[in-house]
Amino acid sequence: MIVPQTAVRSIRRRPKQALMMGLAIALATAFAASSILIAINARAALVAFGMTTPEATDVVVVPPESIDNEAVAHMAGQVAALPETDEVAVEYLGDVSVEAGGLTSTWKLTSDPGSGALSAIPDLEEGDALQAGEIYLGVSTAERSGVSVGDTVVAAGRELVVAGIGQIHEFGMDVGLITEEDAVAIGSMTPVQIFIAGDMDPDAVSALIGDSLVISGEEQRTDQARTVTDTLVGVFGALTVFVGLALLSAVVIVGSTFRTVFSRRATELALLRCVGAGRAQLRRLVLFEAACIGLLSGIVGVAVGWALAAGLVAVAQSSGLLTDAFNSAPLALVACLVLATLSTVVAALPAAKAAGKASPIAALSAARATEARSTRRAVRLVAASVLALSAVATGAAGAIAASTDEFLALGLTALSGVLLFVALVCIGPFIVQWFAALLRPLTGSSGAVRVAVSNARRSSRRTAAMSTVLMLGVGLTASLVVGVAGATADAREDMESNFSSAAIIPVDFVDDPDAVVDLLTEHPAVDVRVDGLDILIDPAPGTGAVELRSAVLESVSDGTPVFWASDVRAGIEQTLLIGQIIGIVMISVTLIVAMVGVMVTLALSVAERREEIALIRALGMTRAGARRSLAIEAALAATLGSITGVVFGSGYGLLALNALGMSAGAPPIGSLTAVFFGVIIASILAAAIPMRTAGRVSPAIGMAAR
Amino acid sequence: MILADGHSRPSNTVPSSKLAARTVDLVREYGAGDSRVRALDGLHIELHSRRFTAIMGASGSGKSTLLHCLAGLDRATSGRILLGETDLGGLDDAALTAIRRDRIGFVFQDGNLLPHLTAGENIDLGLSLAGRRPDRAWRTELVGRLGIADRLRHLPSELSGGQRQRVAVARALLGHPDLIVADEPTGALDSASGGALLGLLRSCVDDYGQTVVMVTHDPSAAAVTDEVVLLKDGRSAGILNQPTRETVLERVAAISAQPGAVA
Repeated sequence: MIVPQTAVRSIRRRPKQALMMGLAIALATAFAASSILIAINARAALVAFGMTTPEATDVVVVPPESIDNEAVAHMAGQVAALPETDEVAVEYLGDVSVEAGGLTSTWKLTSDPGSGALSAIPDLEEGDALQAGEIYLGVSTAERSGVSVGDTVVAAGRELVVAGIGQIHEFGMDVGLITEEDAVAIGSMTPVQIFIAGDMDPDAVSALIGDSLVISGEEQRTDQARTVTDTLVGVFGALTVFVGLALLSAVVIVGSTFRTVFSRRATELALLRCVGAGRAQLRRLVLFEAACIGLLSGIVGVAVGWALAAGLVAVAQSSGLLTDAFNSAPLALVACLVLATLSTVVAALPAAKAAGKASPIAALSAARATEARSTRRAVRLVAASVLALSAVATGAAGAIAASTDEFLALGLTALSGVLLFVALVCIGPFIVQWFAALLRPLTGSSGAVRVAVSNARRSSRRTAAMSTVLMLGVGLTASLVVGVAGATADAREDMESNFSSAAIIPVDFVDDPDAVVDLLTEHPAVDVRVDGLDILIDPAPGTGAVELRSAVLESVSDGTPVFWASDVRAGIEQTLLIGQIIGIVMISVTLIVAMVGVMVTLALSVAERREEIALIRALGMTRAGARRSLAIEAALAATLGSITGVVFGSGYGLLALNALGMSAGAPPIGSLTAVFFGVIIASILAAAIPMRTAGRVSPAIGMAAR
Repeated sequence: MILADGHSRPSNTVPSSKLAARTVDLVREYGAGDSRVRALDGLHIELHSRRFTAIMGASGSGKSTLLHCLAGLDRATSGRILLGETDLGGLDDAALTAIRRDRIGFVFQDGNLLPHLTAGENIDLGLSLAGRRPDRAWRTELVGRLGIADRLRHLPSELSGGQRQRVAVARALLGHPDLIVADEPTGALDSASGGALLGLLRSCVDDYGQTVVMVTHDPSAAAVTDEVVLLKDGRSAGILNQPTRETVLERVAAISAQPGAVA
């Protein structure tokens, strides 16, 4: 009982220290809990988004793209005439310009039978089913456009009366359901599929209607479910990777914190050894304390994560993105707690091992153990060499696999990155010592710089822990920056080779290409030619982009598909930008954990060196000098972390591009430089609180006998 | 019983024939090569049961090393350390831990209590580590005699230096150890508290039949003991029975004047 009792008392007596020790874990847990909750809550929306085939559908007919509305209607009529058929519905889809409540915007309109098994409209309690000339709106759509039942909206010049408002899936867009008749009349809506309910045989339907794709409703639902599952697996997979990276950083930081804290408590551990505590009891004490701190940090993290997720889900609900009530997923939260506790215990293992070795004599002597102790060079060098060689081998295997399997290549490249990271963690203390030695000639006569460099060197494991997590954050950011730059360059190159004109109209998409070409040729602002399967459109000399657009729209009939290079490029760049933003948000958690690491590590460094700081102050270092030496120590760790991170991340960004068969493009020097200096400045800011504490140390305690 | 004041030695104290601890040709060396230091150099001493022994000597004479060896905290380079009939040299770490827990009591310079445990919990620490319950009557008597009965729920930071040392003495006595080792126990105390603590240690021997060995620099503290073992350069420089402050000062001055031994 004494072990848990002592551990719990220790935490109760030093709550600030426990908070500092567990801060990184709390942060990583908050990230884990919030992202898991968000993913779980978004699941229903994803399923609804992907599962568009009504439950009652027996057979789905997907007409070929070139077919016109009339042929589709004919096809539907043929099927409806079969004796086994109960219901038939053609689904038309289209982005239509709608005027509602005085505003015009683009809505997603879908045709709907209005009632029955194939309708998306909830069962009516009263009133009539959707009729021609009417529209059924999603709740959020109606709220946003300020219309209610009985109002009129105008869709592509056609007046539609709002017949009902209800819970239909909106996915954050403006959504309306209209009858097939209206969809055909609007013109720009495309018949996507025909749903058939009844006791149908797909082969019989196929024989009846010829070259359309005919599949059973069950098959299509299974396919859609698989797509949804694949998407979810992808989302959860990516989340796991980022949560894992944040936790890994937290473990490195917490491990370093535990080592420092328990080496400061050497006298206490030695006293326990003196009065009869065995080695195993001391190890258990450290691990139990770690488990308690992990659990408490986990609770804080889960609470913060839950609040964050609940807030975001509430916002998503109010904008119609999500319809279901918030799912708190208690099991997932418990899993987060267990993960937090286990991670902290794992992080405390080296400290527990060291505690087991505590010498009982230390209790009787004034000698105070510190973190500054020799590291086992040979073991670390051998481990690092083995890991680095494995990283090279895995990286090479990835490069070879690039020509056959992109995902295998990407996976191998990522694994190589992880191996190299662990190798760098192993030799981190030596890199720190070497870097400090390298800087020594530059220290000159500045006391603050010399103190900082010598501290970094002396406590190389601690400095290395700071640098390592910074390296991980910077490395991920750099690889993302390089990867996105390459992907953007690749997409631009693709565009230029495939999209040699300002706009194209695919020949297959229009009924009479020659007529379209003739119409365009007549306009003086348009330069048009046919190249193989595309009608290529460019501005005539002296014509601007805006004029060309209006000239083309004037010349071709409504509904002619025109693909604008600038639109496609903007679309691709927007996709890349969204990817980049999501990536940066995910990576920023690792970076924030790294900053917390800098703060906690330096705070402990100040606490451990109070007497030393006081002595230097007594010998004449100014308050500002004491603060400056901390800032320099932070900058030193950050510079080392940033240099290795940028090199390591850029290298792996290029390898990832190679794995995906993309060219590298120009190196994003500007962004990388911004990341480099940004991290150094952020680290110095993170050192602000420890700097303040260091400045407040009274010179008098340096003279007091210990 | 003699407590805080007038800590004179009862005249009827006779050495027990039984030995609580002894060292035989004890050598303890630190370091290697040129930096090798011989802290103890073939030392023979005998500590009789139910006696209060002081160990004195100049800095570097080996007194702390001797205390560490006797308490099972340090190992001999050669020679033997016997606690009763147990040869500490043949014991592994677990056995030495058990010896410290069950047979040795410690009193350090500044009390050395665990800061987050209450005084009462600190007293029970050794027995708790062994998974045993203290003898309630004995514990009640101890804390009553030591005058800390009303301080048991306080944390060490809420106690005075003297109170902390009394808690440490209670911790040392609770398990009825074979030997209580005290390392400069009055070093961090003012003279009044120091005097009271010495009286307490004296009464451990006189009233409870304990064996106490104490390292000290202070001739006044040594004067409270039954005998003083004097060390110089890791060897015995004589034993002073029934010491007084004056005889101690005299002997220490005489030893200092002798030429240094060659290790």
